[in-house]
Amino acid sequence: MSKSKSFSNTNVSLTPQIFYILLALATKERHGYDIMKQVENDSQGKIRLGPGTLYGAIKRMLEEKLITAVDSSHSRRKYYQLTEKGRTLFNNELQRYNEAVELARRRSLLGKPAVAKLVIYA
Amino acid sequence: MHNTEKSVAVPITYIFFKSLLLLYPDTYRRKFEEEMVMTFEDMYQEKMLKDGETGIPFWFHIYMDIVANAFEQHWQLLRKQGLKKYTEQTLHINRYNIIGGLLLLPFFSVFLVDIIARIAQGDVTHYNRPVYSLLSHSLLYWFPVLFTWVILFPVLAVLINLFPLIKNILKKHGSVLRFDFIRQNIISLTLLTIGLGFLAIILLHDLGPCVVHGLLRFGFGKLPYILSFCRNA
Repeated sequence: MSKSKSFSNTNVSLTPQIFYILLALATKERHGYDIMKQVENDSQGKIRLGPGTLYGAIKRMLEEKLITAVDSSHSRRKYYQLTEKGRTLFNNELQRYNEAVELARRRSLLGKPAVAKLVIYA
Repeated sequence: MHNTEKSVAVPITYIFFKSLLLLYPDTYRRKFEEEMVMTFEDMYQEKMLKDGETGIPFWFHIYMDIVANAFEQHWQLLRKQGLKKYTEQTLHINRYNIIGGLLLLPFFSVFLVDIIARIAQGDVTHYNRPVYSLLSHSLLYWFPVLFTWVILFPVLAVLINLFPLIKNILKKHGSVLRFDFIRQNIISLTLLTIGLGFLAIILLHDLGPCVVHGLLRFGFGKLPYILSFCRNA
């Protein structure tokens, strides 16, 4: 996904960072550091967001209305949660991944680790 | 860790990170600065708890992450606002600053050449004879031209940059000493300081090196004698 690509079309493919942020927010609302840790865990350490990259992505996702900020009553922290649009985009991406994995399985490609990795990040 | 609400007790790291955030456009910083600082504090504390120290890779990661993202935010803003609006509203550079900068450019260039030549010869208190000889035989040192770039241009640059500054002071009333005011007028203030600095060099260019030379040779105890000697020299 190029930087200028808009999410107005909910079938557009996502960058790994945006995908993992949406994945982190799919289960519950989280604040910045919580998102950062969850992304690192979910990606098994492959994606490590710094504060700059994280908030750059958050700003973009707020502008595109994929997520929304929620003020917490017991904390100065701002929490973020998925919007309907964000959830649809995330589900569409999961569906695409699922179809790709199914296709790879039918062609017996999943046993080959290098190929499986290529399919997931295609 | 996730519920940290206060700044970590290491002000230097906090100041360093806050300073890095100055690279961002104002609008972005106003919106995300507090959250970014809290996130950084959590990262820092976790690293300290885990390893007992941060180390160069940690700081390199933070530095590169912020610099790259700040650049990206500026680029996005430049594309969104256009060059004119971006220069004025984000970089706080107005047309008076550009004119002032151009007026100071000839003096700055000659000053830079002079300083480099002095450093190259290993004695900053005396001018470099070959370079001075070259410059003094050029058009730059013909009196009308010399007067223009040495006196007239710096004076004009100072006056031109005073104009937006006074306008902003009148607009802001009592908040002149606030950080935001200084930041929004940093280019005008810098050009004003450089312009006045250049004029001071012109007035003191014989006295200054003589005093430095005297202080290096005889120490601060002989300052009155050195000043008197240099004034008459």
